[in-house]
Amino acid sequence: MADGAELSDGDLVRLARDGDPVAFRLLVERYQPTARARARRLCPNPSDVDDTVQESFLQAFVALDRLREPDRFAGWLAGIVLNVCRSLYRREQLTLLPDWPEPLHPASADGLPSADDIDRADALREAVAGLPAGQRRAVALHYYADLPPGQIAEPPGAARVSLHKARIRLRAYITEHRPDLVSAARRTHMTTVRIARAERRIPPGPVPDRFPTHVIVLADDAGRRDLPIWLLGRDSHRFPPFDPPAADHERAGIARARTSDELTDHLLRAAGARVAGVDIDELGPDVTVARIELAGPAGTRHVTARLADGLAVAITAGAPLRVADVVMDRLAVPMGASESGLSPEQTVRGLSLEHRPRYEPRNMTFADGLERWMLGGSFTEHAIESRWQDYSCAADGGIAMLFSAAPQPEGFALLAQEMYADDYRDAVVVFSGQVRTEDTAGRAGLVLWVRRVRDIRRPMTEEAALANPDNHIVMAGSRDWTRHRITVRIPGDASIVGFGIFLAGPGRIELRDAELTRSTTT
Amino acid sequence: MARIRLAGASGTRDVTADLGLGLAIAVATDAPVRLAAALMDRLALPAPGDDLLTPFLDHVPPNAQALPGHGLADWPLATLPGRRPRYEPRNLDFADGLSRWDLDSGFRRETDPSQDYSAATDGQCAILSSAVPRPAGSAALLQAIFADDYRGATVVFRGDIRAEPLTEQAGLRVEILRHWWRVGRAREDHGVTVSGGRHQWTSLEITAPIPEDADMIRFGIALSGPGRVWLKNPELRPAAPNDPEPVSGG
Repeated sequence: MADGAELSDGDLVRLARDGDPVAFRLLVERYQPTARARARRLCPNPSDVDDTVQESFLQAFVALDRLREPDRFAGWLAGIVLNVCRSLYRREQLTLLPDWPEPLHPASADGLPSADDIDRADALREAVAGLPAGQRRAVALHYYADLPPGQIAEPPGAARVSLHKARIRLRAYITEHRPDLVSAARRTHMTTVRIARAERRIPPGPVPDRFPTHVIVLADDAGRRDLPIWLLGRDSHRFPPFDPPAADHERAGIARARTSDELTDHLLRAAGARVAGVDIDELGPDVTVARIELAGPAGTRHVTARLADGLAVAITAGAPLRVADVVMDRLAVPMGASESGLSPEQTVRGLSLEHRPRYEPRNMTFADGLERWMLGGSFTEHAIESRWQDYSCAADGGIAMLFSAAPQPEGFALLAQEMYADDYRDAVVVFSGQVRTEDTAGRAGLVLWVRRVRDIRRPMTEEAALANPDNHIVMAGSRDWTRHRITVRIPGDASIVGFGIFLAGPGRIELRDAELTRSTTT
Repeated sequence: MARIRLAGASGTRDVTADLGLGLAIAVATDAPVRLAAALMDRLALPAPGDDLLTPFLDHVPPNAQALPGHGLADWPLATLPGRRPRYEPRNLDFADGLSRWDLDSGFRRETDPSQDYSAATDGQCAILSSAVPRPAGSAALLQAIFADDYRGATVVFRGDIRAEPLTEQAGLRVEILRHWWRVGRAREDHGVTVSGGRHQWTSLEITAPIPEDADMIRFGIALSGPGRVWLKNPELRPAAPNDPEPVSGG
């Protein structure tokens, strides 16, 4: 046999199948470090690692003839290691995403993973790798190491919150990146709804540009219930009765698309495709997507879009709109009751979002209460109005407080101040303050962010706000006052500098003696 | 209008869309953009070298150009982060030239003031002049500030002006721009003018109430027709209790 280094995995597998004893040994040498590393991660007991690796290669050798794609030996072996580890600890089949059965681990009928199983497991692993550290840890400990929530974090509610958020993110990730994995059989049951009405509820004063101002009511006639969905004002023109009058292109005999929604419809028709349906699987502060089902000559395909885009496509194409039953069960209100809900006008007042920035920090001692400070974050953009009050804030005795106002708050909250960056461009600034936390389950801490002139405004989610590891400090969870500081260089094209405290999930964080200063050192 | 050509399994199909949408699709899909040869022959300009922008600038209509010192059409300055207003007047002695002062032809910029009018400084004075014998419309040299700290109060804008030779008018001007969500973007104008020649320095003053929904205040000098007007010692301050009653807009 030639030098093994020159042979691919597939070549070695084929040689081993033909009885070449050296070929499988070369595969073992090539993948033993990888298998050992994987076993070390999966086995809670380090003394089981060697046995797991040995057993895995044994199973691989025995089952080598059943490997459908020899070039995918590495992934296949990884699945075997996983299965061996599972058997060792007598784990039961896991369900990663309740309400959407999705086996986490590859397991085919004969106990060995198929290429599809491995592909799905790889996709999930990739999705898990993209989770924030806390959620990733919770998933690893709960779903991989089988620890109950109580042993993952204190209090147990914190772990449950992390797992809940992780499931939502994983579902969104898979839906967006691998819609092919979301087969109809695996999807949740859906309720077909109709767009009953669309209303604009704009308060008389200034409204932040990222605050929902329009409500679209989806009606489940059979269930006698409504799902009011709130959208940002910039999407309002796309929905009746706010859409522009009908075009005159019919008179001109030209099918001319004047809006992006019309163009989408025309392009699809020209391509021989039609929108078979638009599905809303989940709604949350960090998950506002719709899945568009396209039926075309090549079969059915799914495209994940922003919620507003999905709704617009459904309207333009006259396609059925479906909402997951679990979402309807959780968020729908009795038919007609949505008219009495909160309005942005009420909420905007409560959020103190009316002030435009100044050129310098103000009221840092909270002597004027929360004047110039704002309560914001992704929860204020939630499509469901009842979640706009998941967090609250107050100031008393020179202390600002940001706290959850619901047992399981959704999204991410900020109590922050924004100022124009003009006088701080190219300078190093230090944001500091004394902070303490209480009963926090998710992340809480200090944050400073910069918006550049040409930045596109996106939802202030936890992921977006804390994307830069240098712009925030996560509190370890202490009831004692501790001073923390963040040092950031403000870029020359900065437009806005924001700073304050943040909270994700239940709990409370407090800030006093806040300061924002130029650093005297570089 | 643009025609989008789709190539699919069943052949080629065309979809017609607004020009902007067609260009957006071309950019998003990296598809080639093709123009009719006749259109290119009629409208295209030579673009020597790598500079594809400069040759076209001279052909942009004046009222579509983003001139230095100008805000977006119909809305002065506030949306330009690099030049957004401050909360207080600045550079009132013109020590920094015309920094923070803008040559503008008014709310509806139907003409380009930089063609017919010009602005400069001379020591501690600002000068607004006609640049052609028969300038069109009028022009103003104004500074804009956010109105937040003046809402509900009355402001006094005063300054010393000198003018020569005028065939129409020149004077002090205060504009109060109310918040953008108000229908019609209402603007209140206040002015006091002089006409004919005014070779001696004259102190003028405008008193104006600032409504609670005011967004910006602009103040400075205005000139209509041929001539030249100087401004020095401008001052904008909240009215004192013993100041005269406000002058109505003019």
